[in-house]
Amino acid sequence: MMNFRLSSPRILVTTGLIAALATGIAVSITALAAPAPPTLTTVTTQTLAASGVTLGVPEVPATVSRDAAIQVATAALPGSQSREVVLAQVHNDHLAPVLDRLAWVVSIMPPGGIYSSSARPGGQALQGSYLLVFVDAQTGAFIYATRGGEIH
Amino acid sequence: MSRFRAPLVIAGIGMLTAFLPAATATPALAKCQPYYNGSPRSDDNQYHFDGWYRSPGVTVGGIYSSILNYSPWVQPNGSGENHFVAAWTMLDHASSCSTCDYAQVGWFENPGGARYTFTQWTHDNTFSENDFSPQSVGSYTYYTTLYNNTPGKFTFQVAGSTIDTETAAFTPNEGEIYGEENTLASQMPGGYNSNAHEVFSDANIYLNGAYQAFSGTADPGNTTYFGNSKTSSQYDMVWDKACAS
Repeated sequence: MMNFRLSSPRILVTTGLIAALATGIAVSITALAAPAPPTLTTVTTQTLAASGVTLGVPEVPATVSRDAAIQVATAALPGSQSREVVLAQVHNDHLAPVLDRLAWVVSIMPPGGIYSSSARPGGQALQGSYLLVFVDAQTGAFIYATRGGEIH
Repeated sequence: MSRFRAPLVIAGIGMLTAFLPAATATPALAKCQPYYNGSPRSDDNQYHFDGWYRSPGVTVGGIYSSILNYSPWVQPNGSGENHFVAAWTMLDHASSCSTCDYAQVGWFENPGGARYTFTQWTHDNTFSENDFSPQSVGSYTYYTTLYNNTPGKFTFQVAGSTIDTETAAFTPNEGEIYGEENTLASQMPGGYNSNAHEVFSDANIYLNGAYQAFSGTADPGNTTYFGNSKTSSQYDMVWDKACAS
């Protein structure tokens, strides 16, 4: 009885360690297998999240090429340069209807620099730091654009 | 109270739209590079405004107006320039111009004619903007900015439908409806011919739990260049004095 009582905690501890180890291995394998969500260097994830934007791992391949998406993104602002492009499952629940679509996210720099805010009478414009154009990766259509300043 | 505001707006817009055939007739629209004393106006890279505002001294829960989607002449961009011309409804905080907080929805046009419907709002000492496909040139569209329709949020509506909802970082106490340009060299929306003005019609503001006529103060900005005619408590028109249409 006494031996049994002494060995019972050992069994429990050992079992617990094995379970924790197994869980850790499983989590590690899952983490290795799942690609990280796309990120941008021209605007932080935090700033995008403030406008409702999250970028997820693409769930299907794009049928529209990266170059075609850049053409669409820069068409409205001739002379604009592409700063970076990522393919993402774009989600934005601030928009109505909610956006959840595979899109090329094209960060562009207009020839005159990133737009400032439009200000208001008596006010001063705020300087922007990024301009992203979302292009449907299945149809090549312009979805919407977002721009603004970085949250610090 | 806020819970019922959007349906009321939509219902109101729907009813009013039914009676707007005369107002929605497409006026003559023509881009016109503005001249002054025989020369193109200065590309001064300054903001200019022409419209009207209301500062009631209490929290403003919303503003809407049927705005003509006018297509003005926009000064081409020189080095380091990003010109635009716009018209919008706005909620703002009249006494906080250190940060100049505001939330707005309307249309804007870039040089070369690219047009967008836009929402823009300030927060965290910066701003954000979303740009969407535009309304048709020559049509009238209700542009609505709401505060606390969803608690703690600004709601932006176009033609009675919500397109964007964002966190409100301030409490608005002023409503504004304006045309805007960021260089004197561009055309302020509207021409001086009476059928060519930029129109802000059926303007309303939400105060103390109910919508009422906007009854704003006309503010033409620089009267050397811009015209403004407030013909009723809900109707204001603006134009560029250098342009007939």
